[in-house]
Amino acid sequence: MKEYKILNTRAPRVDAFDKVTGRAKYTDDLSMPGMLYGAILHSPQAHANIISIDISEAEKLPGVIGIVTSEDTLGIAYGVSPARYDEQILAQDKVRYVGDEIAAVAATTPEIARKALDLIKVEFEELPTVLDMHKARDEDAPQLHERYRRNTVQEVHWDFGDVEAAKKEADIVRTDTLTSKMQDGAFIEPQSALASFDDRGYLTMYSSTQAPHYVQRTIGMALGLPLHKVRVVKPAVGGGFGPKASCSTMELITCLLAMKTGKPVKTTFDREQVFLHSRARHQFYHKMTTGVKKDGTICFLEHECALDGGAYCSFGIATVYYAGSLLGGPYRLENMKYDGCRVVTNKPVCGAQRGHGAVIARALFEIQLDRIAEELEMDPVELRLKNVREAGETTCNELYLSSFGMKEALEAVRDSALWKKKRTDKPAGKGIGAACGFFVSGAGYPIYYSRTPHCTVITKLSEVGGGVIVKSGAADIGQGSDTMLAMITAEVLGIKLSDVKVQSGDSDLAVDLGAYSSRTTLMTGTAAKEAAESVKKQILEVIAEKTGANVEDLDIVDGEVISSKGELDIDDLRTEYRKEHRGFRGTVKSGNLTFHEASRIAFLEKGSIVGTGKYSPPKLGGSFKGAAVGTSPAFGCSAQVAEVTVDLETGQVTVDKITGAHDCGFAINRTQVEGQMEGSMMMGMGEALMEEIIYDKCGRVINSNLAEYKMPTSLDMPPLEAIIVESHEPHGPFGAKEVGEGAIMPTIPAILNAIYDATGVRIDELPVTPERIRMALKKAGK
Amino acid sequence: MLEAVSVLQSTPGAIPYAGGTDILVRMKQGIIAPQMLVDLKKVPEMQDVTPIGDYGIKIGAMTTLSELVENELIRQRSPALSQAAATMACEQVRNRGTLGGNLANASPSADTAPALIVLDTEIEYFSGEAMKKIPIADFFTGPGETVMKPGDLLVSITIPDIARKAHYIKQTLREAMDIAAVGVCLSMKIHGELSSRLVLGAVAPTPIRVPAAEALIDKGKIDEAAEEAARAAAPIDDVRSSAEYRRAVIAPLVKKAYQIVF
Amino acid sequence: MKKLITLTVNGEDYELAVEPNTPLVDVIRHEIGLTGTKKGCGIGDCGACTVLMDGVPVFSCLVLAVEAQGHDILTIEGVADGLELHPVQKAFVEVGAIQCGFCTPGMVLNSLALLKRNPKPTEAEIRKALSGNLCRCTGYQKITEAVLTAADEMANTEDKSGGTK
Repeated sequence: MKEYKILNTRAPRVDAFDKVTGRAKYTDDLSMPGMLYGAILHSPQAHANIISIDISEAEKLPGVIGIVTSEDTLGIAYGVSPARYDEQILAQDKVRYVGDEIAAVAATTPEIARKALDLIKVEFEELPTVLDMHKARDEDAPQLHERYRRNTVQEVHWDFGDVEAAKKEADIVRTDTLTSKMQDGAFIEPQSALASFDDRGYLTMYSSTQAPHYVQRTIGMALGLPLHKVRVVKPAVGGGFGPKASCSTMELITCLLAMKTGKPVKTTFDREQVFLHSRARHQFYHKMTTGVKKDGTICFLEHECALDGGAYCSFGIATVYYAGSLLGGPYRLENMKYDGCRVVTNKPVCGAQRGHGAVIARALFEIQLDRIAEELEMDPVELRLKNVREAGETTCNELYLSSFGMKEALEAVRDSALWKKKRTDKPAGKGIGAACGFFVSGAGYPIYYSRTPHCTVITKLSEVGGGVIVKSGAADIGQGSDTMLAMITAEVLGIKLSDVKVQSGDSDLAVDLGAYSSRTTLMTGTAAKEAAESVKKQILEVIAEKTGANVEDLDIVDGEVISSKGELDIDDLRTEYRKEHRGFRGTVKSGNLTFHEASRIAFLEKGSIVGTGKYSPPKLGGSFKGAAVGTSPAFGCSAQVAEVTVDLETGQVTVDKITGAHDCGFAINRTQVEGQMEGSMMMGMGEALMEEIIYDKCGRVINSNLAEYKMPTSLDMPPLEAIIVESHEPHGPFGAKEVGEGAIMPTIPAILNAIYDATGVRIDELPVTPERIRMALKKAGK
Repeated sequence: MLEAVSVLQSTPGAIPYAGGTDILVRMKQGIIAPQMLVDLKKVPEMQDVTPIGDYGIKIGAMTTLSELVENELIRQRSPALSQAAATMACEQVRNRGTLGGNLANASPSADTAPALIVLDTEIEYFSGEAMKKIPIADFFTGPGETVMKPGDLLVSITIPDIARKAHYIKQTLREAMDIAAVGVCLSMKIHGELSSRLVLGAVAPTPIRVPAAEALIDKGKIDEAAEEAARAAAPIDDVRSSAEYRRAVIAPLVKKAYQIVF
Repeated sequence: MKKLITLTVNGEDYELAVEPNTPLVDVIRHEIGLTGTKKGCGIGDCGACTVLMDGVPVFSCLVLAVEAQGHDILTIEGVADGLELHPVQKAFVEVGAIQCGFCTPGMVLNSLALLKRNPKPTEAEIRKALSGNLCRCTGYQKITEAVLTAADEMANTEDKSGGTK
């Protein structure tokens, strides 16, 4: 194993100081002179035609500077996938969910802006609503969009191998279902955007986003602005988890208000609006029929799935593919049939949330494996180990697993959690459960059809010598990508971490598709590595030339230029440097040429030294329709064991511990990898036990606050153990690949399997609240 | 106190303002729009915690929930009240929220109410021209409603000088920051006959005593008492829980409380 | 009608004109301009707005600015000594208890208050004390470890200096 100076350590985050002192600026912390505040009028109706909008009273309110309706837009449809641009910035003729945006106001204070909303009179013609995804598919259900027949945005029909033949080989076949609910990203920082135009038509928008690039493109398209004049900057972001990965109506409205008023406008969501906007986890209904042989070999999977994604498509067209494709692994499965459909209903819109469409699908499959293990009287971990794939294998749906430490991860948690002992040696009410999962390390294709590199990085040597600035479009939303870029750059250049500055999340700096599908370490990390190598090469070429050395013999180590062939003749270089720095103290060096000196000399010789890097995945995926979704240059994989105690009288579940192991290829920063694992466990646990969006009969969210939408507090979370497995991914920088989403895959099923172990009752509906457990126990006569 | 009362009685749209943790939320959500908040934090008659005899205690309405948790006298003489307060919300809310506020809000799921009802507490409040005293069991008249009228002020509570042990159990989804789906509080006299008191919270329009169950507990018939308590409840479906579940967990919680108190 | 008040924040007095119904969090962020105190919900459900009032943690969204007059308010900006981090802050940084950082100011202040009243908390006591501060990134694991680390560090420093710091 190669020894690294900086990589694989627990280096503190480069932005930790700013965050821990309150210096870090998030979007709502920003302000500009003359700034106005935006407020949005959301539809109170779930499905209605708009007959008229009267803004005249609102316009008269002192302090109101501008009001916009759809008449102020170009009427250009937008969305996430170009194949499904079905959204308008402001409602033109109808609203499709409670929350759909109708108009917006810019005023001198937020209070005046909100008051103005009350003065806007909208006349509606109510339409019948459909809130249930199965009913929405009926021929006579109310149609939300003319273009989506049977309210279906996308259907997927896959048939790999020969499922029918495999059915004959199976000794045990079972069918299970799982229903989940819409859930929320529940990041602590609500969305916020601050937009400002200048006199030449250049727009700058600061926004709490995961994807400045996609936001830039969508703004340019929907508002008819030339793309090079649209700049999107991501300040510090307080969590994203998926809902912030696409351009939001609020961002477009804010730009529109800035356009209309000629002033900077800032709009910040309140918590209720975060729920109305959603773009979070879809509701899923999965039905899986799986067949295995007596010895535990998995023969086939027949999988049907329906997704409720609320009123528009958003990421949904991709979600329905992920729900099927990510079952191709991590086990050997040669025969897989998948029929999925993504439906629209009159509810807030769902998008991509940590793990995207694969999470609930993974949950059911892992739960089903346990039920199969029980029928076979086999240890559930042994059943999995028997079937697990290894590096170099390809799934039936053509996902190539270049590195795959699934087996190692599963064995690690089995051993660390004392699986065998705890399964047998167990008091009443206690349970233990295990599960596996895997996920992409960056989507194989961008969301819009293009040859574009997925990211570029520009690394500039300080002209004065001594440091570098890494310019990237990457979005650090808390996962630590800035630190990752700094660490890779410092490692390659052989300098201190503290001599690397990172500028990121700004569409002016470089291209980056953003923080989604767990792509940043693998993709932007590779680009940064390439850029740093280029800078290093350029410096050493100058030094080689100046000292008469061979460039192949030179290296930079611990901030010094060294030669494998002995000492370099640096006297002249040092003399020049010293002369340049008369009056400066501490410039008289002895020994090897320092990076400070070498980098300065390189500039003097060549002018500004810039290294660029880029990353595009190789052409991936098969020839079948939808093959693009689920492909990735690499796959991270994860195993977890959950231990629970269940109160059999009240149904209350206490999770006592979660032990997880994740194969991230190579941990650029060990602390950050653990942090991602622990955060995934928290979100998975919340989704398993307590998180659900609750609607009333009119399609209104009735728990649109963090008191009634319950996520775990510090008192709910148990101690978490995070084990790092490193399988050395050949396509990742230094062998690194993802951790941010693969690690949520096992959590829900591990907990559900543990609950079954403790209670003997099966629950086919998430979240598994005490109420659902109590009712299931009662039904089972316990 | 008389100053505060005078302002409350004479100013239209004026409401008493204690810790603010409930009122400010309602104002933000547009549920109430008071013209004036009468800040009670410095009203002397509402502050003190004083012992009564060997076992009793008088607590001022402006005592914070944190104080209920930490005050030595309260911990000794009404431990279930400390215990109930400790289950509420979180540190930050408890540092501001008050006993008086919790009682005056009269949520059916209030946590301090059951702990006080089982101790035969009396509430002192100013109404009209004079101080009035009322057994706490008669204080609550409906969800969010008490015997108090606009202009009235809850001043203090008195727990009588009788030795009782008590315990409060709160059924919630989360371990913190959660409102009771079901609350059960049980007390028994330490000396002499049990004379138990059983109160259910969050399963009726107000916290309710279940005298039939109490009689059974006094006779040692705990299983029957638990069933009786479940029957006495009138739970509803709401965003937190269903009526069916609430009713189903009452008996187990009553039995649990009995194990702890007895 | 605006009221003239003086707020003492991080040891400094600020004279301000505020509407009586303005929450403290808004005055801290806008009128005073200290944006380290965050707003996650505005109604006391998330803890991001936590400040210390006379050393005690409160939700600044549930305290009116006018009520805060006459009290000592500590925000995150008042914790470090210039560039020298407080042991609690140092521990958060070193243990890796910060990801997106939005809950961090509230967590740090609440932890400070905890360690003041309970210098040797158990893990359970830490989790209970911080249960009003929601975090969506860390799973609370490293936050809990950081507070334990800070407690050790502060106890050691105290021992070494032979008295209260």
